[in-house]
Amino acid sequence: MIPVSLSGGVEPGARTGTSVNGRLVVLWRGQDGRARAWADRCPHRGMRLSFGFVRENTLTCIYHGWSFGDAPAGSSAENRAAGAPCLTVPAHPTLAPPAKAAAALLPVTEALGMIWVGDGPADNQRPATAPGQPQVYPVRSVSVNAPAAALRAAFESTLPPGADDVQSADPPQPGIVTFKGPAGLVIVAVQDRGDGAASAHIVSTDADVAARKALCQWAALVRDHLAAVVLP
Amino acid sequence: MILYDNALDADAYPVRLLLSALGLQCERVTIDSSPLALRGHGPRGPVLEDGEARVVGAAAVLAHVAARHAPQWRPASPGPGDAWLATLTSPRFAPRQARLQALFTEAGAPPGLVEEAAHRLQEMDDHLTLGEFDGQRWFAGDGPTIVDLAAFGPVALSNDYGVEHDPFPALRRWIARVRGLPGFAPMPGVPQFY
Repeated sequence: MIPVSLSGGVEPGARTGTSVNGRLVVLWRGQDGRARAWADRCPHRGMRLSFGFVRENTLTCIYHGWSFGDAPAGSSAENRAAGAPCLTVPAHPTLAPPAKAAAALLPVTEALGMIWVGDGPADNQRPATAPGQPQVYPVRSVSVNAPAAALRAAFESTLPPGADDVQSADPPQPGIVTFKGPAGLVIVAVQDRGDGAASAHIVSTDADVAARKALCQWAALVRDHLAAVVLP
Repeated sequence: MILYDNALDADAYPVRLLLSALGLQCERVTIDSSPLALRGHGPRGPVLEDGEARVVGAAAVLAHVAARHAPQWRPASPGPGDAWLATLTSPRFAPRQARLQALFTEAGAPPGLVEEAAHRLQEMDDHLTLGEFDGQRWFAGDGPTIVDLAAFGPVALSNDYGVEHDPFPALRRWIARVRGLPGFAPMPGVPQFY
């Protein structure tokens, strides 16, 4: 799975578009606190669902107001696999929405203080976290118009303030860079957005606000240096 | 009080937001304030008649309304709010230029200008990101000010010139805050439902 946001980047009731290897995704959080990730396409007319709005635990398309949500409790496995069903069609309030009108689901989970989304419906491999994973605190996300590999390399070559080492992740993970410093770990998880764009989501095991603020500025610096190299 | 403006004019949007937040009764007269109609001449942006006062331009109208009717909406001055306000209400502010060129010229906004506009949004996101560590949830100070209102349009309307909010998490959180202010009013391109 691919990291797409810090957990706090999508608050309850919020939605945003994002992309995973070029696949457009709508990422949203219901009032129940659970994050969802769907294909960013309304099954009705193809409108981007990320332009829509969250009410309670449903996402409504801005175009014709079709609302989508979780499959009702007790639905068959077949119905669940069909996707997030349409619950209401405002233009035909008495009509039972067609079963085919379902938003395509993507696997989603939260780990390391981040939201992770499957790179396709079949990719549900959670990021491996070591047992007894320490509590992490948010730093920030940065985005840049540069390939994911370049963003990862930029972070690897620039030690954060206070850190003395790049630590290989245990177990090793391709998209994650971990720095070891006196006050704990800094974890940078890289999101390949596709089309030569990437984001990095950064957390720290150090709760200290001043330290995380310094990391925040470091991350912006890495981003700006890379952008200056990549842009003509 | 009479406000001469145009529903599509983003320069006048912070003024409409402030009047609406304050619940001030105001007569609206629609004028054609598009760059095409003005051809670079004539009054720029909204005009407010408030009693004997006649104020021209978004920055001046905002300052006037805040000074006369809503001191709590003024940022601490001197302070960082001054510089933000000057930047955000400048006619040369890249997000403003990009939107005008995207909407009102045949060629649309040139890529370089869109890139610069995205960079300005990035600076705003960086500012809010750092502020959140200190519990600051607004552009200048502990509460919402006219700086937030002046910033809202260029950010919320960025889809008009093809820049999305996906890379700016702090801006997204702040948009939800501004939308939650009492009297929040949408405009074309800023849907009521969010």
